[in-house]
Amino acid sequence: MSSVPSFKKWINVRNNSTFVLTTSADPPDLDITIEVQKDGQPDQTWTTEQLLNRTKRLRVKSPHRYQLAVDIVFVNKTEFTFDARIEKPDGSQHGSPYRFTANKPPTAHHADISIITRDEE
Amino acid sequence: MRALIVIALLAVTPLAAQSNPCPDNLTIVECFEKFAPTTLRAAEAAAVTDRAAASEAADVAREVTGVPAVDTVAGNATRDFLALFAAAVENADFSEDGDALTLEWNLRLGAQADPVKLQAIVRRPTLWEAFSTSLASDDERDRLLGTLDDRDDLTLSATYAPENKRFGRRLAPHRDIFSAILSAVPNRVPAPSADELDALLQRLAKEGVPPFEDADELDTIKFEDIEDVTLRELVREKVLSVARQTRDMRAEFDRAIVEAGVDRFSELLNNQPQLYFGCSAREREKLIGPNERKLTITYEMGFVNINTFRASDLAKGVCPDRAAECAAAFADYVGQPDVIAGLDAANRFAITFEHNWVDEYDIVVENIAPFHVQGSTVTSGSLTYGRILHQSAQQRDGRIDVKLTYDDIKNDEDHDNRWIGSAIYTQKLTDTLSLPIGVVWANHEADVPAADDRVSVHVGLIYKLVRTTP
Repeated sequence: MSSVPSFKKWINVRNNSTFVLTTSADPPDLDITIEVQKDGQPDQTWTTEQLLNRTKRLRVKSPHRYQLAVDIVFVNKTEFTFDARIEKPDGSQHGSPYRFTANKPPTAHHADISIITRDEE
Repeated sequence: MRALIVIALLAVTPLAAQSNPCPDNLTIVECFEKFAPTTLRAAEAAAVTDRAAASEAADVAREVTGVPAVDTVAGNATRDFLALFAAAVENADFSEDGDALTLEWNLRLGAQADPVKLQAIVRRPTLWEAFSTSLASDDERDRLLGTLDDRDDLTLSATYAPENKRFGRRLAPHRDIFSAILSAVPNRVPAPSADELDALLQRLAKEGVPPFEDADELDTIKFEDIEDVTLRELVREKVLSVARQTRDMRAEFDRAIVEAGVDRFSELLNNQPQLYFGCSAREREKLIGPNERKLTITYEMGFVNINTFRASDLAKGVCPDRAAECAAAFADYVGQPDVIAGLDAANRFAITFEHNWVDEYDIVVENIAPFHVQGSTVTSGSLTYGRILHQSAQQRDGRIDVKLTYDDIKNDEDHDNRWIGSAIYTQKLTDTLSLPIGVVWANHEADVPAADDRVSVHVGLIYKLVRTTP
C-alpha cells in the first residue's frame, strides 16, 4: 500500500489557472473543512456541504499565493477520495494532481496545500 | 596532531547531522513529512466518480454486469434488471466464492431514500443429496447432473434497513448533533510562516533561480538542488519552521477532536438500534432441491447510543440548536462513568424472527422411481447478547457472545421443534488473529454438530485477511 505525502506545493502557476477539487465518499459519514488563506490572510472557509461529493473550483490570480489547510474527520468506515489538480487557462494540467484516499475513524486526516502563482508583474 | 584533528572531525560530523533533521539529499516534501507524517494512501487508478452524474453511475453498473463470466438466463435477467434501474444504482459489487457467484448492490429510489440491498446468488448445480443417494449408480448421477446448468439454482434477496434519527447507523440523520460537537473544535489554519516560505519560493522562481524557475511543483526538488548554499539554508530554515508549526497545529486539532468526544460519537453512532427487513426466494430445478422462501426481521442495538444521549437531561433543550451548549453536553455525557463503562463493554443485543417455507414436491424422472421431497415451514426466534469481558491496553480484548434459538418446525418428519444455544468466547491474539472457544447445546442430539451428546465444545482460529492496495 503506497503512501501519499500530506503536503503539496504547486509553483509557477499561471494567472487565471483553476484549482479543481473533487471529493467523493460512500457513505458520506465524515466532515471535511478547508481553510483557505491568500497571501497569508484568511480568505475562505469551505465546509462539508460545499465539498463532499462535489467539485469545487478556485480561480487563482497572479501574483497571489494560496494556502489550504485540509482536515477530514471520519465517523464511520467509508472510502473517501480526494482529487486536487490545477488546470491552466488553456485547460491543460499544471504539474501532477494530488490524489489520495482515506477511511475509518477516529483519527482526523490532514493535508496542507500551497498554490504559488507565477509573479508576472 | 593530525590524528587528533581527524578524530575531532569524526566526532563533529555526526553531531552536525543530528542537528540537521533535513539533510541535503531529502526533498522539501520529505522534510515536511518527517515532522508531520501522512496517514494517507494513494488513490485507486479508477477515476473519481461524480455522484451527481447519473450516467457515470450507469456506466459503473454496466461495467459490473459485463464482468460475470456466466452468460446465462440468470445473467441476462440481471442485466435487464440493472439496465432498468441503472440511473438509481449507487454501487454494485461482484464476488465469486467456491461454487457461488454473487452480485450485490444498493438501490436508492431517490436521492434521500434509504438504500435497499439487493443480492443475486447463482450456485453451481448439484443433485439434491437425499435423491442423489437413492440413485442406483454414479452413471445415473452423472447423467442427471449433465442436464443441469448454472441458471438452475438462483437466489434473489432484498434487505431494507431504515435510516433515520431513531434507527440506523449513518451519519446523515445525526449530522446536526455532530456539527454542533465539531463547532467546539476550532478550524485548523495554515501554518503562520507558510506564506513566508511560499513568498520566498515565488521570488526565487521569478529571479530565475534553479530549480525553482522551471518547476511546476516541489515534489521532487531536493535541498541539494539549490546550488547557492546561503539560499539553500534559507529555504531549509523556512521549511523547518513551517513543518514544525504544521505538526504542532495538527496535533492540537487532533487533541481537540478527542477532547470534544468525536471518537466516542462514532461509537455511539455504531450502537444505534438497527432494524432489518429481509426476504429471499431460492428457485431451483427440481433435481437440485426444493424452492425456498424466507422472511426475516432483526432488531439489533448497543445499549449506549445517540438515542440515549438525545434522551438524557444533558441534551434536552440544547441539542442540536444551541451548538456550544450541545457540544459541552456531549463532552459531559461521554465523560460519565456509566457511559464510559457501557461503551467499553460494547454490549450488543439482537432479536430475530424468521419464517422459512420449503416447497413439497416429487422428483419424477423417466426410468427412475419417483422421489418425494418433504416440504416444511420453520418459524424461528433467536436472542443474541454479547459484550467485552476482558479489555487490554494492547487491544487484545476478550469477548463473549451468547445466542438462544427456538425453531418451530412443521411438516418435517425428520426434525422436531428444537432449542439451540451457543456461547462463544473470542480472545483477540493479534490484529488479525483471534481464538474462539465455543459451546453448543441443543435439546436433541441430532442438532449438535459432530457430537454424540447434546453439548459440544469447539475451539478454532480466525485469521482476518488484510486487504492491500497495490
